[in-house]
Amino acid sequence: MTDTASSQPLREDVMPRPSESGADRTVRDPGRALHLRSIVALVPRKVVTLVVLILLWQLAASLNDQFRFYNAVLVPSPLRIAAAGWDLVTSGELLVHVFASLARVAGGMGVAIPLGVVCAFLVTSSRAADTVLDPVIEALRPVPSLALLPIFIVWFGIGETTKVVFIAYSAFFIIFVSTAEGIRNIDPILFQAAGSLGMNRWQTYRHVTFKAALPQIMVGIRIALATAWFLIVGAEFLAANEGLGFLINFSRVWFQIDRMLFAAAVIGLLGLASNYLLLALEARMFAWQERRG
Amino acid sequence: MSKSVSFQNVSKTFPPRRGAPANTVLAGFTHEVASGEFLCLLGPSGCGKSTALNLVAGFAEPTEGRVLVGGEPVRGPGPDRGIVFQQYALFPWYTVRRNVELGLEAKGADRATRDAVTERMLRAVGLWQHRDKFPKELSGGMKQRAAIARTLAADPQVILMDEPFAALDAQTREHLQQELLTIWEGLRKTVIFVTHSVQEAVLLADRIVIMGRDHGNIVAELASPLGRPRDRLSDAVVAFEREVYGWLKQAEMQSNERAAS
Repeated sequence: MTDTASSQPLREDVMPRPSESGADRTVRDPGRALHLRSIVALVPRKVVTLVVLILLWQLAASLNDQFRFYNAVLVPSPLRIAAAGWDLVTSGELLVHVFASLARVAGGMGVAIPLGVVCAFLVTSSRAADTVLDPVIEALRPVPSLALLPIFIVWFGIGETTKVVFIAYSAFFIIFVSTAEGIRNIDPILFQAAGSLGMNRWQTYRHVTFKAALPQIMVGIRIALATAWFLIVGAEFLAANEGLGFLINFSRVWFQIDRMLFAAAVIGLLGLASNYLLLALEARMFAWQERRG
Repeated sequence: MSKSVSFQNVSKTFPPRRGAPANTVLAGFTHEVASGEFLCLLGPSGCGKSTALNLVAGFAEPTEGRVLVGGEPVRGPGPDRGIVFQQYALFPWYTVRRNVELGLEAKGADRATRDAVTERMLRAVGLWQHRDKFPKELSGGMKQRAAIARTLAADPQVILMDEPFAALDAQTREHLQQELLTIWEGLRKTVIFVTHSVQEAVLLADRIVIMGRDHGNIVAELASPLGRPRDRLSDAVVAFEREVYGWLKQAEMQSNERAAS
């Protein structure tokens, strides 16, 4: 994929000039064509790999039905998992669990994003804020947030608050660190330019600091979101009446391994989908960037 | 409007850092730049010419002495002193038009004024048809044109230029030098132009100040005998170039003596 990025015309001598916009198009076209061809060539092949693996698994399960070389209750076949999934979907049960988990992840992220970004702005622009906030954040950051989950349960009960706080707490550090790093890496010359154009503090935040840090903020959000999907399951094992983590844990009690595997697959797909959604959003937002790879 | 710039016994010492001793770049630098004058600061690298410029821009404060712009001491960066950097420093997330518009927006100009001035500036530098492009889509010369338009749109009284054409190829540089002169002749703003190119200084300046590496000592101060417009191949231009070059050589030799002692 990286070769398609480097084939974009970046050198000055192939940059568009007023009279050469046609020539520019001819430079860019082979890159586009290559890009498309590589997608057509690459993606299906990888999808084929997955399909083949699932088919082999199903084949093994069908053979097992005849010859019984493993316990099919412990490792259900893809068809049985799909059937269990179908039941969960048609009964509406799955939707309840998906929405419960989704709401917790969204709620936690909704708190963590503004908080992390604001704290990063404070720490990077005021020495006093840096002295007060940074040591606290740095002291708490290495503690795995799962270690604090039981404490959160004691403090906030087993209701929604605990789960949202837990996700917000875990995501905060990732977004904070990423944003602060993004701000610290801004070329100081851009702030000099802003000052010479007469921008005040707020105008500089809006037009320079925020815009320049936004790619790093988005990276932070993407990593935090993946982590949130990871952690919400753990929280729902411990304290929940619904949610995908609860579904897995509850199904374990009833020995419904097909349901457990289906729920796990759904979590994976949701994580994957949110990641791709954000990547697509970033590609649109950051069209101005010199390199995207 | 245009303002004078006055360096009054200016010293700049950078504090010691990570084993490197304290570095005095400027010591007792005193100089007057008249309102509306095009001044070139010429000197070997490390002579403190960029530091002098940064002090006027307000990016740094003098350790001793004062820098006055229009009789007022400099306090931080401000829109009365526009700067053009060698690295363009355009905001890559904004289109050319938005970049140029920002200074006017910061000032609180209304929509109509903003649009009118932005269009005038972009036409002046020949970028109007490229107004909706992002900086990454522009060549180096076009980027610097956009940066100049952005600086001029904010209507500064003093224009500071820190080796603005040093990163461009020779042909683009010549074009931009001519365009800059055309624009400047229309505006007659004070310009302090830092360069290490003798040719560039001779072609552009009303007055050339040659600085040495001895804490930014002024080796020579030459009023240009040349009228405008200037033909870069005329005998008068070449003769003045030779004279300036001689002084620059002397500044460099001085520097070497200092390094040897």
